Amino acid sequence: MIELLSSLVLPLCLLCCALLLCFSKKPLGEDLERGIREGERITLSIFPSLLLLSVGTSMLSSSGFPTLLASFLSPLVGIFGIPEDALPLILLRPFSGSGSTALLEGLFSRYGADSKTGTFASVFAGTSDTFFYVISLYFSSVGLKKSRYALPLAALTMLLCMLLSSAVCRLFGL
Amino acid sequence: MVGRIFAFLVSLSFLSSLFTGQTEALQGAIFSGAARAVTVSLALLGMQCLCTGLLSLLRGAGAIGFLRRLLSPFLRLCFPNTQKNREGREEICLSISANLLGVSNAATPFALSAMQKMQEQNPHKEAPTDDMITLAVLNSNAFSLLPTTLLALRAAAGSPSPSRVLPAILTVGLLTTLFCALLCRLFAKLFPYRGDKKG
Repeated sequence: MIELLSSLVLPLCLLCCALLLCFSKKPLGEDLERGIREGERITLSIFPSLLLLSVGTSMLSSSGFPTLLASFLSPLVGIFGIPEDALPLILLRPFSGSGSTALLEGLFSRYGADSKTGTFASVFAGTSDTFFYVISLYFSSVGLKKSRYALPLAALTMLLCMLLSSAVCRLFGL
Repeated sequence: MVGRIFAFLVSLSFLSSLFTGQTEALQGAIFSGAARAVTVSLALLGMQCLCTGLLSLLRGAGAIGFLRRLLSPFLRLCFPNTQKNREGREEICLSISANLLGVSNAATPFALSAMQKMQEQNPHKEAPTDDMITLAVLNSNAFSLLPTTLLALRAAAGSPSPSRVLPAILTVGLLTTLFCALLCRLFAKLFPYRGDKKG
């Protein structure tokens, strides 16, 4: 039921806009075209940042950095009940969406999607996102040079996400 | 800013690959990263133009007032400064709503438009305002009420009930988002924006 509703939202919005376009007396076609041109401008302006970020994060996920750092940090996370093998996923998550999806799939194939590791990874992946990439992209798209407390704040939130995922999984008996 | 981030990522990758011996993979990653930037940009171009275009149409039709009234309680809570700076409010709300509905392809375009509008109002062009940070951080920790990609991955991995993690995801997601919004307000007070006077 929920799937049906959520999959209808976007088409419904488009339908409303299309009907407005046809039946409104105002020259909405001009507004539409002006908006589309604005969209072109925005996308072109972010391409340089997007390129550099894409290459950088791609290199990071292929360099073995997550596994390397994970081997140093694994004694620590055991205390919080976080599966050691999920650590590379946690470390890569801020940087790369495709890289972390690949790691997630790897965990599923090795441990099964419903194992302790698999469920933790599922909950963590479903509630976190590539904050380093997103913040960098948003800020560089408008030419900001500083980021103030954005990155530390996002990192703290992801830390909480990690701890909560572990706790809630255990609480719900997953 | 991106230059420094790029330098950080490349140096870290380079050093790691020396330690792990994955130097060949590193070279391939440069090519695939560059190629991916193009495919992502093209996909973004389509959605960005569609979103900005339709929003412009709605503005022209005067339908935005309805949207604004619907979303204003949430705005007042998380983005206090948009009371004063009126630009970008609809884009902020649409971006966050899109993320909640799992349509992240629409969330990014609206967020980018919102950032542009907020930057126009930004008195210090080099540093982000509190609201810009709040939007960026909320979007970068966004969970969706229905994480379709995750469920698809679980099903593909052979899970008999992919959605058994949904209650956990909802709980963790809600708590994390709440925590994040609170932290945003706290950090805004602790690290004020170039010391200008506001609440």
